[in-house]
Amino acid sequence: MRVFVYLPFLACIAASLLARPAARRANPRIATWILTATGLALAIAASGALALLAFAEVARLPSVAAYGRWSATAVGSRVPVPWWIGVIALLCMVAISVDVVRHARRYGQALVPAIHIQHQSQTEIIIVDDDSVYAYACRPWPLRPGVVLISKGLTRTLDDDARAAVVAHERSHLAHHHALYQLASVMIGALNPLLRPIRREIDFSLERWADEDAAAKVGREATAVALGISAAHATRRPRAFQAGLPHAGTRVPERMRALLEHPASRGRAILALTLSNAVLAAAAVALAAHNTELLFEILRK
Amino acid sequence: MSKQQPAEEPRRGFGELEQQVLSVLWAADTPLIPREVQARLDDAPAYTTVMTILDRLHGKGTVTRELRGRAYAYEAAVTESAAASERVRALLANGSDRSAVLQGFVDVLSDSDADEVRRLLRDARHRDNAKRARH
Repeated sequence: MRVFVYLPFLACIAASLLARPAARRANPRIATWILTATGLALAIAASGALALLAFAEVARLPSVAAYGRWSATAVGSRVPVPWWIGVIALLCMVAISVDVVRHARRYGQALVPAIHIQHQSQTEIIIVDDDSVYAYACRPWPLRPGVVLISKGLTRTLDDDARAAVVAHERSHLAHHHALYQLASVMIGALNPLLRPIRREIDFSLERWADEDAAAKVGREATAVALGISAAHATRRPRAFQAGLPHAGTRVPERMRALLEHPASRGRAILALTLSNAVLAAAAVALAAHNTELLFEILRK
Repeated sequence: MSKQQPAEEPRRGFGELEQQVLSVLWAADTPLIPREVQARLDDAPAYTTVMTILDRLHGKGTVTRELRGRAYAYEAAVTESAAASERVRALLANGSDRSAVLQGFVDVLSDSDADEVRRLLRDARHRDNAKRARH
């Protein structure tokens, strides 16, 4: 338990550092898969490690020790976790729980009306009577076809080709169930603040994935133009409803550059490294859990 | 004259025809096969032209189609109801975490990003035009 229980946290930091170069260089589809798998595995491993550390603290309480039939003083001398680390772990768990509840509430607030919109719509595209410039893909319920929401402001701003790029982009989100990846990314960020960079890179890779699909349909330059014009106009719209945005700026310049510069699909090594981090962390926390179990077997009278 | 001139003409014509085809589809209350669309257009364009336009509109998601016999029947695939608009605006305004529910195209830019976007946009347009002139 001694070292292994801390490994998942190191793995989180390492994976977060690797996430950005991985997302920038690799094929966005593969980057999305690997970052999501890595993020979920690390979030679970780190939560497990945190739970173990917190448990070491709780096990010292006389009432808990009596219930588990081990000696509280024996735990104090045998469990290799300093008391202050246990306290920190407990506090982190409380803070994370509060954050998870907050995220779940805000997610629910958006989910219900979004499912309503999805189920009410008879057509794949809804033109929203709104002067602001935006387009969204909406498929919160994966078993039903999704809806593309396009504002009148956007249809007025873009010409035919650019509109086709936007529709192709949103359809890619719908066809590949990006809503599910996005849900995973929200969970990853909520479960472990150390993994927030991975969350950002998953969101970025999803946009890049849809950009590449649009580019395959209407051309790289046309997609970049659509992106640039929409972004330039999105800046000038009234800010009434942007309060809920968790991360401002969707790295539009980076996406445009990727479209215009035809990046070679590299970065396999970085992705492999990122993923191996998660495997290592999962193995480490499993080992730590096993050792803890053995230790408490011994401590049991 | 420049090479671009003849290429520009049919493009503009296409856009106009597209609008006419769309209004035909919007006006009709059932899906239409290309022949029916052609018949309802003012100065009946060639059948293949109508087919091309319907195919393009389908690619853009502006129309949906279903097989009727051996031909596709087309229908305008857009909801423009006030009720739907109201629902979407309410969702966008409610301050919840819609990033997990809706995948966007673009969002707000920072000032430095805006400058960068303008520069890239000039570059992209330039290259797009050059590409088209070659075709």
